[in-house]
Order: sequence, then structure tokens, then C-alpha cells
Amino acid sequence: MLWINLQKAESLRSAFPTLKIKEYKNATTVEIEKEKILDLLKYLKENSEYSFKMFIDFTVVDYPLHNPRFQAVYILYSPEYNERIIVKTWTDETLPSIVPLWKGAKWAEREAYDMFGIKFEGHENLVRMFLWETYPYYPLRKDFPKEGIKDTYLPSLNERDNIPSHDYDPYHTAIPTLEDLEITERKRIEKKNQIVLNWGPLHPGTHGTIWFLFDLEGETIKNCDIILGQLHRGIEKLAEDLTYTQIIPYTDRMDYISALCSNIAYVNAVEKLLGVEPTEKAKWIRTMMAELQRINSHLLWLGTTALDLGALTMFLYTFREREKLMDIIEGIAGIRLNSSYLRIGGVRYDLPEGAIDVIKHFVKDFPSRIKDYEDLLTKNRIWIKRNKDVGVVSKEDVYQYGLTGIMARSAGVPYDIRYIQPTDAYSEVDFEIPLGTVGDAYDRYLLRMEEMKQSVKIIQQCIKKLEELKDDKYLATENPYVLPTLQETYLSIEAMVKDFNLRIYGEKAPEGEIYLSGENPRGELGFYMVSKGEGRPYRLRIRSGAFYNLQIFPKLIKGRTVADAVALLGSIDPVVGETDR
Amino acid sequence: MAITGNSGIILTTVEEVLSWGRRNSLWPVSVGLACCAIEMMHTAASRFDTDRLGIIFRGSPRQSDVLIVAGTVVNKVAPMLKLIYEQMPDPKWVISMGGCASGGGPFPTYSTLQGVDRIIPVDVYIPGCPPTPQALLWGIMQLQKKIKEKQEGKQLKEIPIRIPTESKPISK
Repeated sequence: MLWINLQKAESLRSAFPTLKIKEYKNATTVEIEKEKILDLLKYLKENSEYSFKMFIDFTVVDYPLHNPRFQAVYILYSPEYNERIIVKTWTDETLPSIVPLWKGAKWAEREAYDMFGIKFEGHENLVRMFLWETYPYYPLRKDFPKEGIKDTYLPSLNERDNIPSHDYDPYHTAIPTLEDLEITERKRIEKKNQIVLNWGPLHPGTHGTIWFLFDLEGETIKNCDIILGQLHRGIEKLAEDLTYTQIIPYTDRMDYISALCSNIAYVNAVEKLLGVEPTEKAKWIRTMMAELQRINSHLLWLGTTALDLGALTMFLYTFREREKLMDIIEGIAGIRLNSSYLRIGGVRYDLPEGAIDVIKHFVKDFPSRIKDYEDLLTKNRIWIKRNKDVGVVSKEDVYQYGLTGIMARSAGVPYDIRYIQPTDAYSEVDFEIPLGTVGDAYDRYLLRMEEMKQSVKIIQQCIKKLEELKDDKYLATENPYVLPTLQETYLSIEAMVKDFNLRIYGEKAPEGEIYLSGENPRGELGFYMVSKGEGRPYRLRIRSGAFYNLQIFPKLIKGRTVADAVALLGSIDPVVGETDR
Repeated sequence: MAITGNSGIILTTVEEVLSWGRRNSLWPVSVGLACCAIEMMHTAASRFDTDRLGIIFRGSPRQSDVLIVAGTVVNKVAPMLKLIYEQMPDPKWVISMGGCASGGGPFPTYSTLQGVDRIIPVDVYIPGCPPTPQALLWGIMQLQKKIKEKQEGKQLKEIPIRIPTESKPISK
């Protein structure tokens, strides 16, 4: 697997004798006291025997009864040895900032401050990541209620005779005033030049609700910061109160453009934690659906980015193909957009009759459509002028900021989870990973087009295999953790009891931790789960690819114009549901 | 409206003409918040094509008369959404699209607004998570019907707008 082996971890003890090493089935963790954490991380990063150069994630877990209370978790990756490591430390209030080592930790530390109230010594501008500055609570602490403190009288403005629902509460959590938001804005960026321009949050060009602040000198952007949290819905907090199966619909709503890919990344992590093996057919269905969704997602990116740069025709063309894909997904999964198609141990439904034929037809037709798009854009003078040399990413940036997905591959780093840690049927299919040479927005456009072609290739192989596996089972129902199908529930009492137990008490996962990721169209979507042996996760951390990819935006836009910001944001392709969670 | 003979003369009232014009050229603000915005884009794009209903998405609230609240409204974005609503000229209507906008949906959390009708009055609620483009078109047609019936005097039960009293903390 992708984890540092125990022997190599033991050899760290020569430099750090107080190290506590623990090996779980799907993760290797080392623990050290707070004073030495910076030294250890520096050692891991710079020693050529380990060279954990790439920053993956940083998060905090709250243990109210433990002293000290908070456990900080750093996840690192070594591109040379293809290994991951989890480094932990305990703290009560403060931690040293690791921004000097990895710039990518800046937002993650802001998030930890926002959610847990941990202060970071040496952080350049420690402000709230998602909530506003005057918000008094730290929501992800275990003693904070999920539904918040309802202290504001905020009834419905549509007065009705009857009460809207049985649990309708006229009291509500506090809403910020415009002054609160202004304070938030002022704390982010200091006006040093002519004007501070707000772009977003409710602007059609910002791909959702991202709020950009540009400090402008003429039309040149001198300084930039981004305010997130305009779609912070508290999924991580919600997940602590839900069973593992109940979380699946929330993973849809995180990255709503590639819902199936998020499902797959999450379900794979849970399956590894529970020790469930999905059936062969389910693996191939998942792979096929993930690739269909990837095409779907890249089409939306192509349409909207081209629309932002003034090419309305592309929008109408790509949405025509998207409708076809949505119909295919609706036919198989039952829902168009947020399909929740996956289940632990397999998929929700078997492939319906004729699904393979429709997909076959689509796959046959689609390459000619890609050719149309390429004819329209690839050598288009306006397209090239808007995209060339915008937002050039280097290899060092990739490791520093933890860039993944297309952003990493455009810089020439072959970081693709489908390749380095294949789940489902990815180890059995044949596909290529396109790499960029320059690392600019135009490269990323070419890569996404090429990825769509590769996806078509994977789907073709899946169709071939699925035709052989026609009569196999799609859900491994013999496993004690897997929900029985509806038919089984109605026909046998054992299945009914099992269904009842799993739905009420949840899947009692063995104690342990896991970090597993999947290759989303937006980058690495990782799930770090801590299980205490209950039916619900103790902590679910979502490592969002778009969150870390967007973090490099202020650096890339400095010295460029506002018009470039549109092209650059398009090429990074964030989805706010995933960045804010 | 009454047509007299074949002379090409139509008799009508000013209100009727205004209502006819308003309901057939509903211009929404292009504001998307979450998943529902994707379905809203699909409604506007090639297959469902809202242009045939006279619906053209506008970039500025000053030029629009419908606000389609597409997606989860979280507490932080609520004052800004209200600002956009206030910037729209009268007459204006609000469509609450999907479960999240209508009542919080699957997110009963500290950061989510439990129903957009707590900050702005809503005319049509569309169920679904997210509603399909067909459902959004249905909602728009409901709004057209509402505008028409208001003009004809046989109103749907008018929903009075209540001004909220000042906030007071709950005693624990």
C-alpha cells in the first residue's frame, strides 16, 4: 500500500527518540510532542531518505476528555518513494505554524483556527476561514451543538395559518450583518494601492460563491485574498452524527458536478475501514460511472470557462452532450445530478436493460464531438491569447501548495490517484495520464480534453468487461456490513433484522483510522476518518482538492489584470461545495 | 381581452397588458448558490431553453424581476442575497428552488439558513434536491399563473408579508 513501512518509520527514532509509532491497517502514524513537531516535519521534508516533500492535509481532532485536548494531524506524501505518512501531536491552545515549510498549510491552519480555536504562532494573517470575524463560537469542537445556538428571532416572512412543519422553530442561529462582513473583509486585506475591488460572492463569473478581494493599481492586481465560506454547510459536523451509509448523500452535495466520483472516493475509504470487498461487477460499474462523470464534469468546465471568456456557443454545445450523460446517469442511478448511486459493498441498482447499449452509442458518438470542440477552440486566436502563459505553475508549487489533479499534472508531476493507488478496477484498465509541459491555463485546457478521450477509452474497456459479467451480483450482501437489497428484506427475516440493525445502529467499524483518497476531476478528494468502534465516525475530515488548488490563486494572479483572473479561475476549476464543505 | 370582429382592434385594460407583458418576460438574476444552480443552467441551456418562455438571465439585479434562489443559503451569504433582492426594482418575485432554499433541506446545521423565507418573502417553492429542469419550468409557470390570476382579481390566497419584531435571546 501507499504507507511508509514500519521499519523505515522505526529508523526515525535515531533522530527523535520520543517518537511513538503506530501502524493501522490503512495508515501509519507517528506521534511526537508539540515542541519537536517543527523539527520532525522539517527532517521528514528535507532528509533525502524520506523526502516527504508534498503537503497533503492538515487537520485537528477534538478529544474533550483527553489532556491536552486537541490532536493535530499532518498528512504528507513523498513523491520519490510513493509513500504517505501521518504525523500527530497534541496541544491545548497553540501550535507552531508550518507555513514556512509548506505554503499550502496557510488555509488549513486558518480552518483549524476557525473550527477549533487553535492559535498558530508565526502565521502571517490568522483569520477565520469560513465563518465571519465576529462569530463567537468554534463549531467543530465536540461540545458545540450541531444545530448551533439559536438566539435570534427570525420567523418566516410568509405568514401562514398553519405551522409549516412539526419542528419549525421561529428562533434561528445568528445571521451576520453587513457590518460584520465588512470587518471580515477589512481583516483580510489592507488597502495599499488605489482601490480594493470585490469580485463576488454572488457574481456569475466566480463559479459559485467565492469572494475575491483585489488590491488594484490601475488594472494591475497587486495583492489578492479570497474569502470562502459562502457555502459552508457544516458537512464535517453533520457527519459525526450520521451512520456511514447516511453520509453518502452528503458526499454528492459536496462536489455536485462530479457527485459519483465523490461517492466512490468516500465509499472506498469506508470499505477499507470496515474490511468490505465489493463484488467484481460493482467494481467495474463504479469505474465506468466514475469516468462518465469525469467527462460530464470536464464538459461543464469547458462550457462555463468558454462562456466566461466570451464563447457562448461552447456552452450550448457542451450542455447538449451533458444532457445525454445526465440521461444515462438518470437511467442507471435514478437521479440526474446528486445520484447517491453507491452503497457500501457495491452499487444501489444493477445496470438496467439497455444501459450498455446507450453508453456504447454515446462512446461511439462522443469523439467526433470532442473534435468539434477542439476545432472551435484549440487554435482559436482569442482562446490562445486569453489562456497562454496565464497562471504558470511549477513543480515546486505543486509540492508546496499540495496541488493535485489537473493542476499538478499541468506542471508535469505525474500525480494521479488512479495510478499511484488504484481502487476499484483501475488497476485492470489501460489508460494514459497526460502531462503538461508549461503549466499554464492553456496546458490545463489541453489536458482536460485529452483526459476526456482517455475516459472514453476506459469506458470502452468497462463495457467489454461488463458484458461478460452480465449475471454477476452487484452488491456483496453476504457481508455483515452491507445493507441487503429491498427484495431480500421483504423475503427473509434475517435480511430484515440485518437491515434494521444497520439502519438504526450503523455499521460498527473497528477502532482505527484511515486516510484514503480518490481522483476527482478537481484533484485528490481524500477522507480521513477516525473510528471509535461506534456506528458513526468520530471525526470525518474531507481533504478537498479544489480547496488546496484554489489556494495558489493569489500567488498566480499577482501582477496580472482582472481579465486574467477570469481565465485563471476557470482553469483552476474550483467547486464551492467542495472547498467550503 | 376582447377582439371585436375582424377589424384588428383588441379591447383590453392597462393592467391586463402590463400583466401580460410581465409574465411573459420574466428576467431572473443569474445568481447561483449550490447544486441547484447547475440544474438552473441546464434549464437555460440547449435542451430546455427558457428563452422560449421569454426568460433571459441578466447579470444585474437592476434589470431583473425574478430572483431564483438556487441552492443552499448559508448564514454568511444571507445578508448579501437580501441586498440583491432589495436592489431589484418593483414588481419583483422570488422563486425558492429546492429543499435547501425552501427550508434548510438536508443541512440542519449551525451555518445554514433554515429557509430563505426568513429573510425575503417567497412566491413559489419548488421541491426537489435538486429539482429537475422540468420542475423549475413548472415553478416558473406557476409564477406566471400567479401573476395572471392576481390581475384577474381571483387571487390565490394572498400571503401577507409580516415585518419581524426585534430579536430577543431565548431564556435558557
